[in-house]
Amino acid sequence: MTIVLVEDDPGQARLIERNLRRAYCTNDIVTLSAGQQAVDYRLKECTYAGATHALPLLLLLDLNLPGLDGYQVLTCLKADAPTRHIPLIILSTTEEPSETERCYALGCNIYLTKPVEYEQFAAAIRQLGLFLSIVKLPLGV
Amino acid sequence: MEGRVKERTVELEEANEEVRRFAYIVSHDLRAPLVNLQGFASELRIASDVLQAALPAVLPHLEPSQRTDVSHVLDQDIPEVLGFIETSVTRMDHLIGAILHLSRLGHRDLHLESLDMQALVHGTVQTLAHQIAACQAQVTVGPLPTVTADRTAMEQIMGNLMANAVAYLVPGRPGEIVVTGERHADVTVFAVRDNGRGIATDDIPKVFEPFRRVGSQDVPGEGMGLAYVRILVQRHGGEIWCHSTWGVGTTFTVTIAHQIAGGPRAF
Repeated sequence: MTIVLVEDDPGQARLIERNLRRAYCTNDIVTLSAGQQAVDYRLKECTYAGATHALPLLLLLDLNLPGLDGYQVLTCLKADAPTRHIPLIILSTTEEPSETERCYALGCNIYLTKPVEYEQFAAAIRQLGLFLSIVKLPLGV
Repeated sequence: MEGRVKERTVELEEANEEVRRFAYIVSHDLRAPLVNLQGFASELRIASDVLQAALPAVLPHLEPSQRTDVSHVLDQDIPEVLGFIETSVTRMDHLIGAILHLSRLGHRDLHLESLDMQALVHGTVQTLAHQIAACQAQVTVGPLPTVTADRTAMEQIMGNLMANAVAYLVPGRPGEIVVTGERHADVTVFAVRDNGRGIATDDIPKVFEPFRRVGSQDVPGEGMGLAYVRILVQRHGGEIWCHSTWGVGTTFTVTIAHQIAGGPRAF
C-alpha cells in the first residue's frame, strides 16, 4: 500500500510523515503539494504518465490546497468508478461541523481534525499510523 | 441628506465586513506556520534528547575544550533557545486566538430575547462571589429593566465589566460596586460604577483597544476583555464609554438599542 499525502505546506507534510513513521508505519509515503497532482497521480496522467507506483493507494487529503482544492479532489475521485474505492482520509484543520458534513456527503471515508497543539497533533497522527497498519485494502485498487 | 447618510452607512458596513474577513483570514493563515514552528521546535527537542542521552558515552572521546563546548551547547544553549521559541510561539498563538475570537464575536448570529437583567446580573454576582468576598466588596444591583438582547452577549458584557470592577478595587478600601439600569426612548442604559483605583484620563480611550492594558500591570489578563465587550455592545446597536477619576473610581456605561439591526460588525 502506498500512502499519498496531499498537503501543500511542506513543513506540515514532513511533520505528518515523521509521526506516521514513529508509529512504525513502513509504507511508501508520497507527498504531493497540489490537488491536481493527486488526481493525475492516481490516474497516471500528465506528469505521472507511465508511472509504475505500487497499488493500492490510500489518500490523506488536506482541504486547503492551491488550484484544485480538497473538496474538488474528493468530488473528482469519488465520482469516478475506477477511483471511487480508494480510501480517502481528510486531514482538516477546522472543526466546523458543516465542513465535516460536506466531506462525508462527497464520499470521504474518514474525516480527521488535526489538533493545533503539537503534542496532541503528534499523538493523533501516531494513532492514525497505528490504524493504517491494520487497514485492509482490496488488491489492485 | 438622508440618502447620503444611508450611503455612508452602507460604505461603513462594507468596510467593517472587509476588516472582519481580513482578521479571520489573517488569524487562520498565521496559525498554519505557527503550528509548524511549534512542531519543529518539539522535533528539535526530541533530537536534542537523543544527543543528550548519547552524551555520557561520547564525552570521554573528545578533547577537553570540545567536551566543555559540546556539553554547554546541549545543556544550556539548545534548551534556552527552544524555551524562547516555545514561549514566543505560545504568546503568538494567544494573540492570534484573541483576534480570531474578536472577529467571531463580530460575526456570530445574535439570538435576541427578552432578558430579565436583574436575574442575569444576579447570576454574574454569584459567579464572582469568591472574588467579591475576598475583597469585602459591597455590590448593589438595580432595579434593572428587562432588555431585548442576546443572552450570551449580555452575560459576557456584564461579566466582564463587573469582573474588572472587582479586580481593580483598591486593596484595603472597602469596595463598592453599583449596577444601575434605565430605559430611555431609543436605548436602555446600564452602568457599572466602582470606587476602585480609577483610570488616568489619557488612558481611557486605550482600554477598549485590543491587547492594550493600562495602569500598573498587577492584575493578570490578556487585555482583550473590553475589546470583546465593545464589539458585543456595537452588535446591539449600542455604545460604551467610560468616566473615571484616578484614585476615586470608574463608571462604565453601556447602551443597548431597542431596535437592533444585527448585521455583522468588525472591530
